Amino acid sequence: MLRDNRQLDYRDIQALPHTFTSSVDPKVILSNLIERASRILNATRCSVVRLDPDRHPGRAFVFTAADDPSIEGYSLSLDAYPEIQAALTESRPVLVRDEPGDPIADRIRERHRKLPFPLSVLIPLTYRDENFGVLFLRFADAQHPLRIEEVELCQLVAFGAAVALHNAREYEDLLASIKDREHGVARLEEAHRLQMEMLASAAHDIRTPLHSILGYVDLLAEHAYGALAAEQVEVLGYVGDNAQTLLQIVNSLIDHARLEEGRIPTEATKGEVARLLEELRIILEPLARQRKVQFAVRSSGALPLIETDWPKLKRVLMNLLHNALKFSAGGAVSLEAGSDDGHVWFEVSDSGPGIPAEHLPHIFDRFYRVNPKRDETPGGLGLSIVKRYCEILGADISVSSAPGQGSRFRVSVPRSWRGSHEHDG
Amino acid sequence: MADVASRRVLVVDDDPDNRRVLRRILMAGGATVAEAEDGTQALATLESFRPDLVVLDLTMPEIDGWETVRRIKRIPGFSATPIVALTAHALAGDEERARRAGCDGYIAKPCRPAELRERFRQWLG
Repeated sequence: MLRDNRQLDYRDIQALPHTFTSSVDPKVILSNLIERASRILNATRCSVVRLDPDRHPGRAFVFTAADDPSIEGYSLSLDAYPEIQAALTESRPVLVRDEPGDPIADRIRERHRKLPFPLSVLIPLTYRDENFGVLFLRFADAQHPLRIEEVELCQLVAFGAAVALHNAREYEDLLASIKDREHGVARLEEAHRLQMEMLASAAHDIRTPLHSILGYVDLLAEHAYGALAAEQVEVLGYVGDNAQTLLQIVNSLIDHARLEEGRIPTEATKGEVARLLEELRIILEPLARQRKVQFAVRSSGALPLIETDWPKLKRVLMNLLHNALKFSAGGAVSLEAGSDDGHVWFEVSDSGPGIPAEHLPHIFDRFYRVNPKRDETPGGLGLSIVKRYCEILGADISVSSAPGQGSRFRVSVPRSWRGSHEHDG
Repeated sequence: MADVASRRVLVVDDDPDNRRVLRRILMAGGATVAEAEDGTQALATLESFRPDLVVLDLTMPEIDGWETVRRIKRIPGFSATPIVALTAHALAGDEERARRAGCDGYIAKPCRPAELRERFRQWLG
């Protein structure tokens, strides 16, 4: 193993860290390894035999550089290559020299003679007890000088390649598992979306006959089908009240399903706040009468024209007012609106039981109920829809309440809003 | 419902229950009411009935509400007849689209007599 006094090439040492980090592509890693090692040892031919013990036990596969494709992909049996097994089991470089007394050369002499390579160096690619393969360097000259430092440098380069191969495989595994998960998440999302679509569709079907019921109830109560006794009108009031509550629940389910589907089309149009107040008064007055609630709708000063998504704003105020009326039987509920700089505000106040301080931070959560026995809406969806619609509208909502002192919700809506974007809820 | 008294209103809706409710509400106010169950019928009824107001469901099979509105508005003599759209879903944007299609107003179901009264006041003056 003696050789002239040529110094180790400083650039080969300098490039060493690069072998660890250059790529996550095994082909690039192996090509770099072959190129460096051939240069350091000045080999006639250099390849890597790769192992795949899980899928192909007992076999190895030749990898060559792109400029040397003659035996690329060649599959060989490890039994026929005791030198490879020796490098792997001994975990150190193996030198095979075609001369009498070399234990491996004795066994492979026939093969060596067919190929003009009287000298071979094999360096295992091992990291953490795992063999990725063997670096196979062949020399045409039996007297080719090899220096121990250079072989050691090749060992380092090979170790770097093994680390890089290990990292490349970890990276592949990680990518595969991320893909798996993404696929799973996408399937779950699709299933959820379908469920919500079914929910919305079922709720739509419930809503249609409800509309008819409400229409007939109103007509009856207005004596459109003949005069009714006071008690009959009162009973019709209960029917209408319950139908209205049911409609409110069905509407909440539809809103909830749409929000969960994540496809909320929005559209801003200009309109008058006073019109909305009047509509709400007309819709809710019968319910207020039924519950013996003093219901007042007031505006503080002149109300401006604003640009917003009206059906959503209406739903926000409907939900708040419906809650207020529900909890204030025999008391008072008011809706007041006014404007300040750039905003229109709405205040819904009630004389209900109020909300204990410990519940206040949670009332806008989905399915939250202050009092599970009293709340009539399904899973307390009403306020969570209010909050999410407010977010879509760019509106602020706040609440002040205390037990025994009623509740006051304040919604502040920007006068101008252009929300034609899809909102992901 | 003094506002619709002796007015002629054409109700277009594929749901018979809805038509019946609307008819009753309007008749209670003294209006003369004709019904059509789809866009084709509505267009056929138009010339003979000559309504002062058309109330029409936007989501109908065959020629849908949107298309019916566009066609009515193109018929000479009816381009000024107010058309009020009726819909169960009250989707954001429906109002805007209804107006773009040529509707003069928009009502979300359910049709409660008190609310209808208020709205008809705007369209029939």
